[in-house]
Amino acid sequence: MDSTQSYMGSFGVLVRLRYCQAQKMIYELGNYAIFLFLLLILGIAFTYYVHKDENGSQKLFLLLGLLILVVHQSRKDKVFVLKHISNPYIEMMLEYLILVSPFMVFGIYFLRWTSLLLLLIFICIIPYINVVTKQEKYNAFIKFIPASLFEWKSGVRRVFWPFVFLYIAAIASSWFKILPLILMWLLTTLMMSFYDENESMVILGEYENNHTAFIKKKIVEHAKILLIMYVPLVIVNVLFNPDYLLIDSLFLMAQITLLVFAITTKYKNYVPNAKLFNNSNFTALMALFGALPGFFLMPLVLTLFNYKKAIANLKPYFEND
Amino acid sequence: MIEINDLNIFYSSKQVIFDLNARFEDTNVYGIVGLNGAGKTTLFNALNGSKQKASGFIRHNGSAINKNDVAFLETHNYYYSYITGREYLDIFTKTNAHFEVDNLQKIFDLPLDDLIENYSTGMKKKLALIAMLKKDKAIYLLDEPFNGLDLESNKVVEIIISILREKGKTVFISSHIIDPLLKVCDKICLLRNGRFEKQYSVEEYHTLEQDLFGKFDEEARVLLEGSM
Repeated sequence: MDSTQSYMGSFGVLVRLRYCQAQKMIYELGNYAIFLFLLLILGIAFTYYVHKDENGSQKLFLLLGLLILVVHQSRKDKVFVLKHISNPYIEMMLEYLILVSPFMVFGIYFLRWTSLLLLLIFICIIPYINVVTKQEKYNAFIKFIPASLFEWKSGVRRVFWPFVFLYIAAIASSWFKILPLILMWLLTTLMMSFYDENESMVILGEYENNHTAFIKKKIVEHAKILLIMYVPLVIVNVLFNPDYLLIDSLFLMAQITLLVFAITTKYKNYVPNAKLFNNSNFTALMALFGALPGFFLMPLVLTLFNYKKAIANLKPYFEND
Repeated sequence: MIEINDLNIFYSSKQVIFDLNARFEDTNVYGIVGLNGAGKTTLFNALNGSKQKASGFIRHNGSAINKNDVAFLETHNYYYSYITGREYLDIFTKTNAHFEVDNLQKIFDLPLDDLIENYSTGMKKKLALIAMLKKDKAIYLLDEPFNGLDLESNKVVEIIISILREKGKTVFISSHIIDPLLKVCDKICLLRNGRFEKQYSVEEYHTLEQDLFGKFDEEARVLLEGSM
């Protein structure tokens, strides 16, 4: 068969594929899909106020650019798209444009042409960047992560550049008021995606013989690495903005809660050797709730609930009789 | 000594192991053979403590068998994605003082700094085997260790098993291929429909194939002759 025959033909095929995937996800999410939809509407409405202020609009466009970068870097289908889609780069551009366009609408309304143009140029360039990465290149950096934190080794390698970029951007902006917190929150959201996969039983029983001790140790170890990363940034932030002491302290606790939420969700649903991509839907939803005033306690309540469920779910895997 | 008494195991409502009773002496290599669905992997999971028993018990030297006693090589080796072979090995604490990863890498010829998803099935099996050898345990469970391995690696596995025996370990091996078992096992147990049918000593190995495949052989021949 001619290799060109294997190409999937018409324009917009990738977008149609995504539409089918979204339909499937909405079906799997069930009632959560309504929450997600409402949040999306709220988010889009919120951009009206952000775009109204030129400074805020620029920051939002920057965030949208970062979002595209994260999506592009972490997507696993790049080789497939290049091989089987007839206009791969245009298809990817189209996808990214559709992804961010709801959040750009009010930017057009308020005539933020410069930022819009810059974002569109970025969307045109990004599909050509770093299409296939040899992830072994990051071994030198990843060796600093302790061996027992294999979720982090795997996750950081998967989203290496967005991860590094967000962290450096957070360091570079650490004396600003809100921006470093937003960047760290995005980083936490990335970290939460590290827990979509379930290890084998051989690894599960490696460090602890008791299920409660196991989950406690896991939470402490993983919260520690988050604190190592965030505490210096928060200290700098507080030094430059002393009035933010309480906000920064609450923020740090919220980030730990989100991370623990992701860990407990993983073990609440733990089945050996399984990839539970639905986990990331829920954890992403919780990350959004964690950022919304009035809802920020929700992840904490669900974490406590998940913690109990995780202990119950892990018990049979640690019992000998 | 490992004792299995009145062991019953279910998957949902389906019983897989039926009133299983057996005794296994230490420092022996036992082969567990059986046709598909005989319950080999379930038995291994029970020995490893990863499958709950409906009733009965498994004891090692008089006390309930403990995960700390057992090293387990699973049939299908699952690896976390975006992890290199070396990072996978690093997850496990070294309790075997003689373990030398460089020597094993030389023998198995594994690219340990590459991502595991780029490994072939055989390479993944070798990696799991190396990880298992990092542990010093009393009991080693090898579920289908010869699956997917090349000829040289098969030979290496045979040597590893004989070294484990020399070190006084008890080894259980399951395999769909009988030939390597005949070479390395001190005894072979025939598992049929969740029950041990017979235990063969080396002198009785010549009857094993006939016992295992006899009826199946006849039935298959009749069916095939009628359709070929």
